[in-house]
Amino acid sequence: MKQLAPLLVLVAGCTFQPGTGFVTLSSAQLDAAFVPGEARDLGDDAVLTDMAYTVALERFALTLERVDLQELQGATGGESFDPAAPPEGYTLCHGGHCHAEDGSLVSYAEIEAELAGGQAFWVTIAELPIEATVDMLTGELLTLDRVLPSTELPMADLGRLTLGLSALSIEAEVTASGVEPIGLLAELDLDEAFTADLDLPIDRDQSPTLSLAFTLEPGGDLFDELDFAALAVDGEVALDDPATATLLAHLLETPVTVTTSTDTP
Amino acid sequence: MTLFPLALALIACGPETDDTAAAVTEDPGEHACEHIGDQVDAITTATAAVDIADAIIEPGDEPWVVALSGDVTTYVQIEVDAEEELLLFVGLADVVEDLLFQWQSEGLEDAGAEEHCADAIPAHYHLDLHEPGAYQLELAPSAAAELRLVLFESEGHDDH
Repeated sequence: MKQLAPLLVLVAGCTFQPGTGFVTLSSAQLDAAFVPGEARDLGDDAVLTDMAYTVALERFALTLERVDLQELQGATGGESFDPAAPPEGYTLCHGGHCHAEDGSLVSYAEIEAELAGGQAFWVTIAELPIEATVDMLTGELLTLDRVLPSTELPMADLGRLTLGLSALSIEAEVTASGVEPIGLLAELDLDEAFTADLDLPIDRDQSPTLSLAFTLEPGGDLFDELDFAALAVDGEVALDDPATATLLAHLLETPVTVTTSTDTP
Repeated sequence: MTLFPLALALIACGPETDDTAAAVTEDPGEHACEHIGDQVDAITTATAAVDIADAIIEPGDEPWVVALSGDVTTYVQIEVDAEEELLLFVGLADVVEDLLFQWQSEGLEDAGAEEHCADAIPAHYHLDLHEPGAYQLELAPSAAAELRLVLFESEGHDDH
């Protein structure tokens, strides 16, 4: 028995020491800024809308809560498909998405979840709190230095991220040919999220450390489909529910891009 | 905004139809990346209303250059003799607004940047031309003067 003691100590050490993850999330950043794009950028924070209004922004701020890195769980396997032979109801699969019969774009991950028979659901593997209000006109680069529950990521197949949005603040002046200037003030409390597909396996085949860089760049179509003259009351835009829904729909269509890099020793 | 082609202030200039565009041998997005910056024959930009018949675009390897309006919604037209599915790659985001069939909205979703050259092609679209006839692409007023676009039959094109 004495001869076995060192072995037992060794085994106990492996069992009871805190475990390390498969990959260490060593750093994460979020770069957020309003980027109108060439077709809409009139300079000086002014944008052209699809209805030929000029929206001169004086304030555009988003309050961002957190990034959730998520894995699709509950699938029973065999749900992957060949993009060259899309499942029924989908056509023209490439670049990570297929076109549904109703014209919508659906990601491969969502189709795989659907093929799993509704038994699949997204589970947050790691949460990166932000809890900051970002001035989108100046743009901000935020360092996300907290990871919950740990920077040590367990084995997982990260397929999606969500970026929580809790408030929107916009102040602007709207002008158009033949229209008196209209004030626009929007202060909205929200419980919404941007989403993006991920293809990020966490396993022993990956580098032991990982850095993530997220980019959120709402574009110049933010105010599209809004007929400001029709919404104006006494020279101010009164955003009704449909107009608010339109504004939010354009905002939440903003893609979140993710760049991954591995740290070299 | 009216959907009718009032005050059309655009001219599409581009290549003759490439009748040889047939075989499938290359990712169409990658091919669009190769061609969207190609030189085209310069033509005069319209400054007054023109008939939609002067703004026809057709599938082919070479890009089209479309002069845009900064004030009004404008249109280009695609005409097909049979059902077709086309891939449209464009050089500016937030310009292509809708696909119309006989001036009625068909709906159109931006399929995002082309992964092989996101800067050159920040948006692309799948056009389901479900029956013969004339389809119009609705283009938003733009701060940019021109839009480059490449239109492929979705079943492919020549590899050359």
